[in-house]
Amino acid sequence: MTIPDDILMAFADGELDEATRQMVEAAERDDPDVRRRLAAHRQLRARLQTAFAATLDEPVPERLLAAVRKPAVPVAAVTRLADRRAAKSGATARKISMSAWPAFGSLAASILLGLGVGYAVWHAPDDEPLRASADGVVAGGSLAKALSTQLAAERPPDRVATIGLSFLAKSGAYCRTFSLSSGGHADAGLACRDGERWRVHLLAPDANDGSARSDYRTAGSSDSPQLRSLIESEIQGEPLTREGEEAARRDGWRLR
Amino acid sequence: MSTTETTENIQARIIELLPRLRRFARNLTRNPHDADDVVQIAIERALTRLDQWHRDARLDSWLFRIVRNAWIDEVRSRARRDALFAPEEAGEAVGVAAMDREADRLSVEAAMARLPEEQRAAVSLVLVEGLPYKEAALVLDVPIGTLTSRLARGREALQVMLQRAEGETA
Repeated sequence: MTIPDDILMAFADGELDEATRQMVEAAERDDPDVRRRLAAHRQLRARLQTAFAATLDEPVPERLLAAVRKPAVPVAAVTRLADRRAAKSGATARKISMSAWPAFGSLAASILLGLGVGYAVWHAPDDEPLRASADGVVAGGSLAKALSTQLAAERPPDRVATIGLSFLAKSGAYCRTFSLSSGGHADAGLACRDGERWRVHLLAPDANDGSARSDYRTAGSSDSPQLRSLIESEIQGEPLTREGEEAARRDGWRLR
Repeated sequence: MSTTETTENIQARIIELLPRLRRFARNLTRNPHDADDVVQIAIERALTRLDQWHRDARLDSWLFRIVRNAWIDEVRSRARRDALFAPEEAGEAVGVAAMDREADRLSVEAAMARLPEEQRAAVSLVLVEGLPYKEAALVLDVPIGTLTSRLARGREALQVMLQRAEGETA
């Protein structure tokens, strides 16, 4: 009697019911062919286990440990913003959104404000790319200008901010990723249009910054995992093409 | 949180699972750097969605699934980004780290890396991570029959590649 290979595999994986298992065991005793095939399956399993066992002993990078310990910053700020506002004004959205996102508002704001203060120091006094406002961080100075006027493909030589990609968010606002560089340090961020302002939803160290590749700046091209993750969760459709960006710019980054 | 398990408690359990999550992600992405990025994204997602984890479900399976979905998203967004940034975004392709001294380990890794993604994920979950078929099927969001057929094809391909690598003949 021949036993199909999938049964032998399931046997090697410990997935068979009692009756079938006994049948295979009997065949293993009596049939050299079954014995040989089973040995091959067991051997493969063992080799895979051995080959990949060492990975488990590698030290886990600090950034992963930190990601578990700290509540994540890059929450889906774009769509949650309305909830946060509603929460502030005591609307009914409060219970649901705020319990699901504990302390997001204060945490994100304090981190962004901290960065904002830093930028105020690093940049020329008349340029303030990140500004704290009553309800969050907004783009100012060279960043606001870049967000409103620069196309993603453009790389003006004296730029402080470079635009990565532009897209329409599920919230209905235009959003653009950017990279802000200052004194050899760069942050990648996401800003979305809010009325006449660009609200900054995320700012994270640019993953390319400080590495051997720092001479080739990828410009808010979502190299930060948080940024990528935020874009993934917020984007509606595809990023804007050059024509799409030009049209949006003509309309003042408002949906017509 | 309405259950007996506190968030701190779950965070501690996730930390214990990190080595396995990294290993799974590495088999999936075939690139240690990508793997850690994907794990980081998955952790962030998991922590904001703890309320979606059913306490009677296995935490490791739930996290493996988030890791895999994060990788699928990443592959998609990469394709999209490559279309936009193609010339200057062509990053160096980091192969599977070739620093292992054991010849066997190298050949097993190389063989794994050559499997199609679906088979690699199935083999990785069942044969490396030791998940039961039922759990692995949940992670991959496929029926058990699909899982076992991917597993069978992956196994066959590995057998062939490994035998060839060693010059053995069956």
